[in-house]
Amino acid sequence: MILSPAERSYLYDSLAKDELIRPDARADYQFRPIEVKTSFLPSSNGSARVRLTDGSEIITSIKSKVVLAAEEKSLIECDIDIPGFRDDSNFVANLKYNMTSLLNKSFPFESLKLTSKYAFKLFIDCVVISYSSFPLTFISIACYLALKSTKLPKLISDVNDEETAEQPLFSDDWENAQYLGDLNDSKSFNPPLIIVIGVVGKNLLFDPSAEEEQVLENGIIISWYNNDISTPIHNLNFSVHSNMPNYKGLSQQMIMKSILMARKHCANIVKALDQAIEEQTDDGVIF
Amino acid sequence: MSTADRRRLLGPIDASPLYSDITPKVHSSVGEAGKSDKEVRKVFIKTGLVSNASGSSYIEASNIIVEVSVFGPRPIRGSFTDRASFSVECKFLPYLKQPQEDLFRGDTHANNNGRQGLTEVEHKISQYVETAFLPCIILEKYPKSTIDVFITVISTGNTTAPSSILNLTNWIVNCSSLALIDSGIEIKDIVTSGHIKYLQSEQRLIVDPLENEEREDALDCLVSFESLKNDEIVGLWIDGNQKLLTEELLSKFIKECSSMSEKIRANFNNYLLKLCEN
Repeated sequence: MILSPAERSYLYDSLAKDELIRPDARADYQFRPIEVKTSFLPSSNGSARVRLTDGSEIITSIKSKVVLAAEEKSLIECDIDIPGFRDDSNFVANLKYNMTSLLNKSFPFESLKLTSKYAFKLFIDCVVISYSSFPLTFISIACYLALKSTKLPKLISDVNDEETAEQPLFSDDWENAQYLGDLNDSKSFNPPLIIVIGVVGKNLLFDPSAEEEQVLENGIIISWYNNDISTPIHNLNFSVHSNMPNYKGLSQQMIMKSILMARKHCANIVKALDQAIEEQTDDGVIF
Repeated sequence: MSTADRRRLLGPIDASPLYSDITPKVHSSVGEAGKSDKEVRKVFIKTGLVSNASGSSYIEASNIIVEVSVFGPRPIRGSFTDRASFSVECKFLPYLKQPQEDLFRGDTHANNNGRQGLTEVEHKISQYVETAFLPCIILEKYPKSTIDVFITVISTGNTTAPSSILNLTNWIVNCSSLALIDSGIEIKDIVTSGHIKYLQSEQRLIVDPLENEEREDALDCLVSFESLKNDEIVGLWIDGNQKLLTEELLSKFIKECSSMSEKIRANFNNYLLKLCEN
């Protein structure tokens, strides 16, 4: 919904107050409630769906392929599809750039290694079925959940195939498949996340809604990986319609503040997502 | 394959664009034999070269060559808008290797019948420039019109290292600033930016790095400023492999970028003053 100038000014004032008041009574660090479902696509290695109360819906599917590691430029390929936008539009291309560069920088690639020659390559396909606010956070959440629920077949052939020309052999039994996270036994597996933060006056808002986006003065994107701030970090105009009359530069303090805020709250976001995966009912029903 | 286009003569499906390793020869006056970590490289700038654009500029910064043309304000058809719309398009010349080319110029671009859309890297640069200039152009002055910026990257030194994109974007932002000034479009301030690279293992901070080969411990920071408006940050981009990004480091980075941006700004001011005198 496009706000009128009067509505915009009202919303701006309430968001810019010292004690900010958001239209849906959220605290500045709070996300909108999301509904999560994982592992529901039978033909994918991993899948996740994220739904919001405003009808936004994102489905991510992960498929894997055995490749010769030396011939691949990257072991992860991420594609984003948004109905109504061409794949080469600026909007989609930038979302794809952000996700691809995030995953390629912050991912435990050693867990994809099968043998000395072969590795799994992951194809992550993200469909944004509907959205109202800038969808990057929820795309990254859907990728997080899908990666967490990704199961790969168990290798039964020899790991060391440097001398032999043998191709990897997998167990026939799908029950033996391992979670991607269990393949890397050394540490816990936490895929990277991207947090979208809106700037209004001296306040920062996690996960701005479509209405809040219209009064933002700037936007900051921060990545989170392995319990710490990660790269890329950048600023962005979230509005797709480039109709942000309040849009202006950032002060250095706001950037520092956003980093501090992300450091403080992102661990809880990750915890909440992990909990959501555990708590979902395992009935295979998605509607 | 029933959807294939049968009406045109198509090349073979696995055809790929022709690339060469030829780098255009750079004027010896701007090429330099190494610079210290704290120095900003010497650049050659020229404005107003493109006669049919409202404004244009050209920059040579060692092996980076960029040309920017600004068109507008041009009227738009259709419904009334109270402010101008602003768009940026960045394109690399086709023979150039792009940063992160292996990641972003994969199979999807292999069979495109000659005409290419922008790659993700080009889109990303376009978006950065748009984000950085949006606060500084007084769009309210130009209702019902568009302002278009076209960036042509003529040379990048043919590096595909991921961090070279930040250095390139830095010079693109500076060059676009000059083009906007040349066009006479009303702006609040001149946007200039600075780029630093931090090597964690050596704790070495390099301003405007010339070499951008990939390193495990490098962190790159590109920040664009509006110096008249209290040094407000209009563009921020931090990328790299380093994992320990502390607040102290970040504020040091922003400070260094700011001082580089100020140096460039001072040079631009000088250039523009000289232009007025002639």
